[in-house]
Amino acid sequence: MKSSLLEICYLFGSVTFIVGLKMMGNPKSARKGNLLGALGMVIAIFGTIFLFEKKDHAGNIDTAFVVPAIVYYLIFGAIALGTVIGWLTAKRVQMTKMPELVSMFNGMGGACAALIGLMEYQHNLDSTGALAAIIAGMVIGTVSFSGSIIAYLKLNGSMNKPIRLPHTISSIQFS
Amino acid sequence: MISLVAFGTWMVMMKPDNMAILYALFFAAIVYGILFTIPIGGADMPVVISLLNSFTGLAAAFGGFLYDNKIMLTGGILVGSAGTLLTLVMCKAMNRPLSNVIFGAFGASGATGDREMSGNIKDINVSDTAVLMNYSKKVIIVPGYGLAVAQAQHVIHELEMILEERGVSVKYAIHPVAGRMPGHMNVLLAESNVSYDKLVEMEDINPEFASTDVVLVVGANDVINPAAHNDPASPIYGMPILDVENAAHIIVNKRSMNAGYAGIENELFFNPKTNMLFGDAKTVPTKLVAELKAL
Repeated sequence: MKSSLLEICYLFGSVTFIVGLKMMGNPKSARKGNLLGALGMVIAIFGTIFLFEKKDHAGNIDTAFVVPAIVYYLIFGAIALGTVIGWLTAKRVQMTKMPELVSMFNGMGGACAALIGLMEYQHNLDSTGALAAIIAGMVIGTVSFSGSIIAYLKLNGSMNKPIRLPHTISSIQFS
Repeated sequence: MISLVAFGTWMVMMKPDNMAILYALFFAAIVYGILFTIPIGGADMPVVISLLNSFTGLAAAFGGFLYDNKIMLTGGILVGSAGTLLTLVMCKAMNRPLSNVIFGAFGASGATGDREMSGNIKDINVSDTAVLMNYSKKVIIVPGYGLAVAQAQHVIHELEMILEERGVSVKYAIHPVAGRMPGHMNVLLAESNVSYDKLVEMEDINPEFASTDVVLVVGANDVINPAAHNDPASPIYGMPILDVENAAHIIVNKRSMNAGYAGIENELFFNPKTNMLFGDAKTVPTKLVAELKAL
């Protein structure tokens, strides 16, 4: 029951993402589109927290599994902390610093994907498919993270001029 | 890049139960990300951000696969594909293949782009500009990063409203890569409630310059550099630009003669039709508004 509710939440979230993205195509509806996507995300997050049910490999629900209270404290603590930091940064940022903000938030997303990879690696050693997803997600997420940090520094002016790498280093890029 | 892929594939095949090897791959990826971004020139920054954004989406989509989580998958794929499309659109706007942006031909050819500029630079003062704009029929404003830095979006909107009241048609010419991020100018001008149909994209506005009396360039440089059309040695050669030189008068509001983000001179400033209006992108339009009100 809970699982099907969760699936509906996800479906709803996916629809809001797509409709929201479509609305962002036009400056007039962009604000609403962004809010709609955010709403879908909130529903998906809370749906996952409250409606998730642990399943075994055959797909049967493990009714004995109860999430310890400490996990909830940690999750909500992290959400509160992240919300406050994100809210304050976005509120305070000047319009000219917008590209830096976008770059920084993007880097955080990459870091998140990389951390998932680092955590899940040892739990999935038995499955080649899962491992491939973990490694690919981690490498791409990490590149996105460190690249965004450099992009942030460059936009910020801390790294003003493009640094021209000697040919040996640019060939490392390929190899 | 190839070695990263090889390393990753090897780990998937061999499944080494050793976190140290995983961390090694992690740090290799960090170093690669840094090397990937460092050589990319400032003018290409919006493209890079969009590309990195699509990477993040892709990474999230892999997370979705892993957890069998549909929303992570959908969200990731949406971000990834939207980011990729945006990257390609912007590359097209600059008429350069993506590989050229990433592997930094900007840096390589930049040194040969410094041509000797000849001709005179003409100054114009604020009251002459105000008179000129007041008696013209059609004015196009070209905003650039300088406008964003000076936070001049509100005063520019005020200038636009005064001119409209006097029967002057005012439009904004938006270059796809103006500013430092995709859609930077749209966001900025939307903040000061400039009506959206006044913001005109490059392809739509370019034919209009020939029938325009005054072009006011505020804090933009590389996106109006005619070297993109007529100097094959220039690093921005081939990039579509706003053809402001077709207008009857060009007024460039700039703080100094310094080069733009691409680090190259702009021969437009030496054009006989061009007048330089030196000053900050906020104080100058503020003075212009005051002069126009007095007229």
